[in-house]
Amino acid sequence: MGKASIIYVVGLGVLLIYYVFAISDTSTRSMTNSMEYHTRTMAHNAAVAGANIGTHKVLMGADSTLTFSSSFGGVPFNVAIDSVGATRVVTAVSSAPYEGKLGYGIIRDTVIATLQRIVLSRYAYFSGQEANGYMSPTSNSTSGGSMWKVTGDSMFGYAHTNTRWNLGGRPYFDSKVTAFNPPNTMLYGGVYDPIFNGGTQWGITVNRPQANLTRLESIASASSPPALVTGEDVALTFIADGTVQVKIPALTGTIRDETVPISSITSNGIIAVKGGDIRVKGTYAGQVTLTALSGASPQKGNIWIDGDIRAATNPRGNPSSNDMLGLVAERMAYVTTKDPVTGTLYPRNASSVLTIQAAIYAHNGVFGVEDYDSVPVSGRIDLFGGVTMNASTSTGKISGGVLSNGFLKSIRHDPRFLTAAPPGYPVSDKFLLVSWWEN
Amino acid sequence: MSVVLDLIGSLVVAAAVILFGLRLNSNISDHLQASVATLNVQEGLVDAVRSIEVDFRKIGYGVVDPKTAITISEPGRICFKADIDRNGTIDDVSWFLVQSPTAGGDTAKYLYRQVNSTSPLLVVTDVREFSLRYLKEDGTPADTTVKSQIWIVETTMRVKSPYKVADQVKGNEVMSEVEGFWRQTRLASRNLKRHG
Repeated sequence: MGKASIIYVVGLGVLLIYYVFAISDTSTRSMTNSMEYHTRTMAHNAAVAGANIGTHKVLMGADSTLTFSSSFGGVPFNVAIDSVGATRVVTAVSSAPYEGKLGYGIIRDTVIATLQRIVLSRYAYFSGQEANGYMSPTSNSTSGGSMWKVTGDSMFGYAHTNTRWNLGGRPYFDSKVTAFNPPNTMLYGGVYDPIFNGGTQWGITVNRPQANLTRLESIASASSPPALVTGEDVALTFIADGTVQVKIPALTGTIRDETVPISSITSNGIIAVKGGDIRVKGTYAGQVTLTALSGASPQKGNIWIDGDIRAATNPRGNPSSNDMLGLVAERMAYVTTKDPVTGTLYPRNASSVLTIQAAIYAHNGVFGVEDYDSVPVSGRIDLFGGVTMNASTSTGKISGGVLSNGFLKSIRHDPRFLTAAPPGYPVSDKFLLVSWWEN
Repeated sequence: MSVVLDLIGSLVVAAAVILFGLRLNSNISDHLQASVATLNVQEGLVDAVRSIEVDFRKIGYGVVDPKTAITISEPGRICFKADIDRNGTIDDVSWFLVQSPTAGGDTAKYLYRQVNSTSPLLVVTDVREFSLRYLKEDGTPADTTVKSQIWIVETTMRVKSPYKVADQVKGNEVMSEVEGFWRQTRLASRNLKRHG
């Protein structure tokens, strides 16, 4: 009996010791598991914090190469900002000490942010301010009245204004909407409920440096042969086979009137006119940017859209189309409504459609319609591309809820312009976050 | 007579001690089993969560138009585009639940991850719940038919042990499965937000 008791007690003791060790081990492993997850999360948060700070430095203008170190939640991180051409790459690496299942170690985490200068063709609609900035061909004055987006208005593509939107009713925005200030709001039909499918962000200013225009002038001048015309209006009628009819002056062609391959008048894709206007229409093949600069003539530097402008390979149905056209005006981009020689109105009616496949930029003015508030009802402008303007405007006049003069317009962004742009197309001096890599 | 009484008394005491020891052994064994089951559930859950976090943070990476990054947004299934391995090619990534083939009447399911057209990879078994909520930038529910509204994905997962253990009394049941629960309320990919 005595021996049996001893064996029993020893056996029970051994079992208890085993259980205690086993339970202790599972508890330790459970704790280690939890600690590893916690440490990994802390390391990740520190890397994200470093990348956020680095990104902020780039967005605020510190765009040169830079390295710095700091810590977040006790976890140290190092950040490097590298310049790769027009791209800035922010790399944040954190390292958190950790003792886990496999012993002591360091958990590292990396976040990489890539930023690029904002190419203005990425916007479906961009305005410096939401006020009427229409200038007639003979005067640089504007009415400056507030322009409103209301029920029935829709935008497909990024939309931005450097001041604030004026919104009433239920205007529709398919992509993200940005502005410097929150919008002015108005009940329209008793409703204020704009639809922002891509969200909103206020406090954003996107500059449009004048240097874009001088850069384009320089590039055109450097073309072989030089593609800079000074003091004359130029008319260009594109032909789908890659040629273009060039007329200088635009209405007579007395200096030059010939049809040549686009590549024979510009080697780098930029054609510029200084102190003159450009008149354009037709079907283009290839990539070209037309630039009209005012020079010493305050009412010059306009682009006149004399008719349909189409890509030879339609980008609307074929996103891999290589045809791109940029229309850059220092003053206004007009849709022509009258024959420039005779002054007679172009024959248009309510069912007319003017097709434009291009990215349009008006540095000091807007993309508008010649005499939009007095010409007869002219149908609809179908713009597939994007428009960047100094202000806003209307392309037609609405009376009693119906179009009484000018055009309605439809703007659809060309998705190719999110990653590509016509040659030399204007850029902002600000950066945009284009990708964010987290482990 | 007194010897007989001593024997009987010692037998009673010995029997009580033995029974006490067996009961102690049984209780500790149950507790150990429950601890191991809990640990297994926890480790499985943490591994699955890490995979989910790593993937979801990359939603839209390398995608030109981020509002097209999420292609399917269902409560138990998400498909999105991302250059998941940074090789310059956009991948299609899916996370989805499938009914466990051996579950019988059980409610547990399997959670799979699939990249492009490769075979789905089993991430974790015995999933009681894998639910996804899609939120707008302000945290209100997004209209999942309009993918561009989705900025945040709230992810909830509940995993159970494959067998019942003691120490997990639920209602009238003296044995039940161990469960692990995880919810990430604000899991958002910066690539979805960056546009604009």
